[in-house]
Amino acid sequence: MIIKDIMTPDPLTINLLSGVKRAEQIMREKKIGSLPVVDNEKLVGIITSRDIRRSHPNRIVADAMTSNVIVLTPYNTLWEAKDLMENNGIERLVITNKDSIVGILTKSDLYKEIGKYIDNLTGMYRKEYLLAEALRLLENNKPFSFLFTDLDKFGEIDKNFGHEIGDKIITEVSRLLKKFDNDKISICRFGGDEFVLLLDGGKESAVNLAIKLIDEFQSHQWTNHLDIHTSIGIAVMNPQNKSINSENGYSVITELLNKASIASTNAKKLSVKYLVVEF
Amino acid sequence: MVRKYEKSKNADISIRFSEFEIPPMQDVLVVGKNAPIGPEAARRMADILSPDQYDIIKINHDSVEAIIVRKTILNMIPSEKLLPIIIDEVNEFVSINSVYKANIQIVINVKRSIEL
Repeated sequence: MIIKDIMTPDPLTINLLSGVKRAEQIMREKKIGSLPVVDNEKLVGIITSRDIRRSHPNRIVADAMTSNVIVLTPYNTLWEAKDLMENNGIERLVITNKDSIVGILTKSDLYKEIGKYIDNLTGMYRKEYLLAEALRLLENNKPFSFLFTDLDKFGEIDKNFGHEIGDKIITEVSRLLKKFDNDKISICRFGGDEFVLLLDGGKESAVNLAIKLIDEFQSHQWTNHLDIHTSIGIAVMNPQNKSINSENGYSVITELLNKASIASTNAKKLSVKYLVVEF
Repeated sequence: MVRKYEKSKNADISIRFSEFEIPPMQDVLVVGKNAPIGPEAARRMADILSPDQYDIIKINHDSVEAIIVRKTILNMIPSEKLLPIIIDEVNEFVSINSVYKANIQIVINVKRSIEL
């Protein structure tokens, strides 16, 4: 889920003193929508087909390009690329590594890839998104928590009312959870009747959120007047206590998520609404 | 009776020599937004012909992209005073497709009194 896996490597570039006509010719022949602009091999801008349409064909690239180029490295995540493109209203990113241009990432390639990580039934992201977000929080050395929520006796609903009602319930759960989606909380459908919330906050905030979720489940009017409850496993990460580096970060996070999943199962066994484990 | 016409073809050539101005731009260049030469190209042209003599000032205007001004002019009048005057004048005729050159003459009048 890093840019390196989907970017177009070694893109063609154009010198800033080349003509706009030349840039247009290259783009047309190679069927590409933009060219990074270089001056002495240093990135100084980007010229897109839109820039070309707006410029007099006699101009040099320096007078038609966009100077503020937004760049990322090949090791940034797809979600970081998506945020950057959406926040800046741009269609492509130049990918650089130690001042060298190593690739280009277009919005269409990015969205095609991100689409693979979206759940068809609920429109929610899959776990890959949450893991990438968690990695970001971990790298920032901030405490965070996974809340693994698993519906109680969902198998019986499927058996007694059929999969269609089961799917309706899953969709209702996703809508209910989406109400909690904000700057501090990211949500995904983990699989089946399991959803995970990633909270940018420690134990106290996580427990408060779990209580709110449980209350919301209890007060919601469910399809077929069903009684739907959930058990929540909370796993809290205090990164300042750990020797975490970029190499073991991913395995630390997956281990934490696993602990949250087990805590959810144990909460069911112990007949409690939530259970907290700290890492 | 068949009438014959005589055909002839000739060319008159006249040549007018004059000195090439260096740089070919004068004190000010006003660059339209869709002019065939952009401000960066104009600055580089000026820099090659007369290094370090011009400043490029990009402006926010419907038709004008930038104004390139001889630095000695800006030593006499700051750009925030000069640009509004230039813009005010070119507004009357400016086209986004054109580049205009302008000559500016500045006379600074000084009057001092001294005590005798």
